[in-house]
Parts: sequence; C-alpha cells; structure tokens
Amino acid sequence: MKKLVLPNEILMGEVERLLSQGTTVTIMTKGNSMLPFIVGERDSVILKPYGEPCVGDIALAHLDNGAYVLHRIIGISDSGMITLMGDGNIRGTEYCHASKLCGKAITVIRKGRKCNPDSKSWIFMFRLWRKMLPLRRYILAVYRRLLIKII
Amino acid sequence: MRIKKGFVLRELAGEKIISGEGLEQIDFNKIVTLNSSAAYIWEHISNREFDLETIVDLLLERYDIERSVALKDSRSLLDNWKSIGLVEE
Repeated sequence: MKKLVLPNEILMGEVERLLSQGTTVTIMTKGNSMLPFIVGERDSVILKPYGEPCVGDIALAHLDNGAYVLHRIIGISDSGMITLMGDGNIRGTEYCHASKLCGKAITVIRKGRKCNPDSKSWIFMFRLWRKMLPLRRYILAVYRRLLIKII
Repeated sequence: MRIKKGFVLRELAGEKIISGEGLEQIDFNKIVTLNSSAAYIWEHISNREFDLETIVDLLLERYDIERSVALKDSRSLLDNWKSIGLVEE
C-alpha cells in the first residue's frame, strides 16, 4: 500500500476543518509523546468534534504557536484555559483555550485493536500513570526497550 | 458494473481523494488518491451503471488520444479500482 505523506500543517488543518464540520476523523499518530498509551506511527486515533472537555481526555489541540498536539488534558481552569501534557513526556505542558480543542480521541487503535480511552481500565491506568510521574522516565525506558513489542 | 456505495470523492490539500465511509467520517489511513483524469472519470460514473466502453468514451471526449491508448488506460484504471474493491459487478 502506498503511503501518502501530507505536510503536517496541511493535514492537520484539514483535520481541524473536517472536525469543525462534525466529521469523525481517523489519523495515524506520530511521535512518542503519548507513550505508553499511544505509540506513534503504529497506533491510530479516531477523533470526534469536541463537546465538554474533561481532565483525562486525549485531545487534539491547535496551540497558539500554530502547532497541533494530541496530548492529555491534565487541567481546566475556571476561565476555560486547558493544560495539556503528553503521557510520554517527563516535563513540559502546553496551554490553550478550550475553544482551540479540535477533537477528542474516542478510540485509540493500538496494534489494530480498538480501545476506548474513556473505559474504566484506561482511566484507571491514566490515574496510576499520573501518580507515577516521578518514575515515568524509568518506566518509559523499560517500555521503549522491552515492552513496546508486546503491548 | 457500479461504484460501490459509500465512497466519496473529495478534495483535500489539493489532492482528489476517495474515502470509504461517506461524508460524516473519514479515515486517513484508508484513502485513494486520484489524478485529474481518474477524478474526471469518477465524477462521471459514480452514480450510474458503466462498463469499460463508458470509460473509453469519456476519455475520448476529453482527451485527444487514440482509441487504443484510451482502451489500454481505461483497462488498467478499471483493473486497479476492481482490485482495491471500489467497483462491484
């Protein structure tokens, strides 16, 4: 199968436009910033237009600097400012207004298997993952070297 | 033969693409890109019965080419569309 690679800003611009029209969009992910929940270039996500954002959502956000990130919502302020952080990142957060959230991941397709990120087991794993932030770097190192092939 | 139901042609980042889930869904992992002549043919046959001759005639209407060339191109286009499951008998 041929792979058509579109420049990120063009593809993501289209994805944002399609989502704003109410279209459900499936895209292949890139990068390691959502490890171990999403493995870039292996796992896809199905995105839906945004409803009410919640902490724990995996959201596609259009940041003020023009970049798009698919990261976890870790905080929502009263004024509607969203704090995002990649599960695979040890530090570093992004901020944007709720209106700049383009889509919410309603399904993660891991190794071809559909997973629901709102399911109890995923939410449990995410909460555990957050608590283990100080240990993240070590767990990620093990995951990347050994476990990535298995799970 | 006909184009199978549910396939939609749309323009995306300057490319004509076909996606398989109708207008309310799009899977970027499963898209088919068309060049301009393939898109022209798609637009003219997507809602009706057609055969190889229909495609040949469409090409001859639009392009100044020999019938033998049009026939060869039509055949390879149709074989390709059949092999990826866009067309049903």
